[in-house]
Amino acid sequence: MTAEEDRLLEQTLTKVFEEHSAPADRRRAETEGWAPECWASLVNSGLAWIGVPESAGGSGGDFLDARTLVRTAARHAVPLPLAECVLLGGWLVASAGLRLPDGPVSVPLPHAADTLRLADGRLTGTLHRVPWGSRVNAIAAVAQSSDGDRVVLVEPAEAVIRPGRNVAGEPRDEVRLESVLVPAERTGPVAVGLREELAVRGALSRAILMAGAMDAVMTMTVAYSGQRHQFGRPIGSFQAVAQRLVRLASEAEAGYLAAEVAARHFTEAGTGAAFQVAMAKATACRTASEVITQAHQIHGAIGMTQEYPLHDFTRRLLSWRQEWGAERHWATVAGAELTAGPGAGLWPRITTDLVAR
Amino acid sequence: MRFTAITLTKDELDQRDAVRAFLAEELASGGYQPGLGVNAGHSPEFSRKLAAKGWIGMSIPPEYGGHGRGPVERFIVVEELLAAGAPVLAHWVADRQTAPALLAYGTPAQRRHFLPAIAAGECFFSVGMSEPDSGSDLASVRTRATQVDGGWRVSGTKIWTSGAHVNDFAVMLCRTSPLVDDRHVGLSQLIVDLRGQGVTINPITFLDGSHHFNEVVFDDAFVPDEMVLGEIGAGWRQVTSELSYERAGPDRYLTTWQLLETYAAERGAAAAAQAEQIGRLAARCWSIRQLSLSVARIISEGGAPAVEAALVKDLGTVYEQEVVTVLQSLLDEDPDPGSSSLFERLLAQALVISPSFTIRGGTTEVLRSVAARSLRSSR
Repeated sequence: MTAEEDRLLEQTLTKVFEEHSAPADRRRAETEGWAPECWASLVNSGLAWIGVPESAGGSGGDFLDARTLVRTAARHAVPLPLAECVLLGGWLVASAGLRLPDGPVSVPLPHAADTLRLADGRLTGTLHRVPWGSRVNAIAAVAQSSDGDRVVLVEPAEAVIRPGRNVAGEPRDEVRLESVLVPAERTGPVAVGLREELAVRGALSRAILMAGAMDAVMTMTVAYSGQRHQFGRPIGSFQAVAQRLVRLASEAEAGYLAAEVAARHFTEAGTGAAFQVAMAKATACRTASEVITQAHQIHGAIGMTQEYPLHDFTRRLLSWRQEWGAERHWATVAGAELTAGPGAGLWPRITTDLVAR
Repeated sequence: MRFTAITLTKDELDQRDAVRAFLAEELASGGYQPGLGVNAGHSPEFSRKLAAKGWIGMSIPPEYGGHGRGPVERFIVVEELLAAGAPVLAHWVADRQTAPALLAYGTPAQRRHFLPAIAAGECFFSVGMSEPDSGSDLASVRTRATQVDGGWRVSGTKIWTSGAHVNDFAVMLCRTSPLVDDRHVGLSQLIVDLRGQGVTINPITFLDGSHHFNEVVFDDAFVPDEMVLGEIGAGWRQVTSELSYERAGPDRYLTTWQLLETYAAERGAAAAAQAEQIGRLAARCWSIRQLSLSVARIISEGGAPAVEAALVKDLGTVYEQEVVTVLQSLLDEDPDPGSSSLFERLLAQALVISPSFTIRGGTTEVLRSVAARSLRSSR
């Protein structure tokens, strides 16, 4: 994909999201659970399965196409499991040689108490945090079985679902399966290293979402600081506010670029980019904290209302910060790798760069 | 404003390997003691070794004795030197600041005279900007140059002139015409011979007892017309663009990198037990480095990333201080400046000098004010 094609894709997506994920749509989705018109529009435009292999029923393209979809969606706080569809679930389905369902697919968030066992073609267990678990057409997950791990596709109708939410009001449902029969066309083999890749993709999916949301918060806050007048001038012209604005912008840019660099490394190297993804997720978590704090402080009271859309982004950031491994987790993973045994020092590891071909 | 992910070429990676190999050899043979970024040390001898390798004056065209390399290649070399704590101070200003200024504003004669010597590590420069009453408010400088036959007579005082006692020349900002309403008018840059007549250099001892800074007093010092840099009266414009070059480089986030390296190297098991903290500090450096690399690429493509550079400097210098604070918090003991442990010695030094990181090269507050104006006007 050229830079120009990427820009065009982003423009097209922006149009769809401006139409179907406006603040009013997002309010409605928070009650109803999601925005089905937005999904329908993506499907009609052929954009719903970007980056998912055609072999599985996706529209093809590479990881960076999918990244553009997810990041742009996050800029509009789109209430749909798009990261699950194009970065996680679509890939899981394709890697196991299965076919995509007729609608969105979700993938459970990692949870310490999750269990999922496949025995005699029947699936039993509990998945505690499944994004849009009751809304999607299928949940793709990895189950244990006596012949090793298997990828399985489960339909929500087959499960007992206890609805849950994250702090942004997005569905994070508990999905309980009791001896659910899984037909052969909904189970497939697990490729070598699949669990590791899923963890890396999960973290990267959140870093990319956070990049989009932080970018939206920055744009919104810079604009607000110029429009809002107090004491006869724009609040952004007060030094104390200006300082916060710059802190916000620098953190948002750092988080944005980190996700971008990690996405490119991942596109080149897959799980070989695990270290860069760890760096990017740790960075996104840290920068998001600062972005949220500064944006709310600059917005003042208006930012604390439901009417004003800042919270659509800051609440999502709060949730995504924790999902697929919080800063503590990824910093520890990276730190453990850096300090493992006597080596050539930390520096060479930090400076593994993308190489022009 | 948009930072982008940067790819490096095979040549750039080879260049990096060569610098790494050279530094490993120098370190093993006692060629240098690792220090803290640009504070690591002033060593003309080491600078000349780098020059022999082609790692000074990289951005200077071959016709002036340089190597015609771009900002990204220079970045790759410089970050290796800083991360390894190599002594780069002697040639630092000449290489980073003076050479680009001469290329932008210097006369052909000035370029022929100075650039080959800079690239050879034979000619070192200082910066003469701040004055006793002019810090962040640089346009208020009062050092005055009066036109005389064949040149200028300079009187006034510069302070914080790093290396003036050991370097050869200073590029100095001074007032060349009387103050008018717009203070940015009437300023000019002169190249002053630091060993010349009428120039007195007095040490300003740093709080840790070291001597890098000086007060430079000009008492009717003569500067010939040939040593005017750029246009008379255009000093403000020249200086502000010069400052933007210097802002976002690896020296803004790698000053304390050796602390992290020596901590991990010396305290293996204890460091491994602090994996989370090491990981956090490493991730921050990694992310700031991506931004800084992106700024180098923007400059190489002819852009003027002033706001981007200011953001990187802000993030980077605050990060350098964070490294010091976090590493100290992991220790039970108080570091001894005379310890046999390199980590302890560097930490002891860093604890004392780290407040300067967010002051030098433009205070955090001034940078943020400038960046905020551009942010708001760009939307």
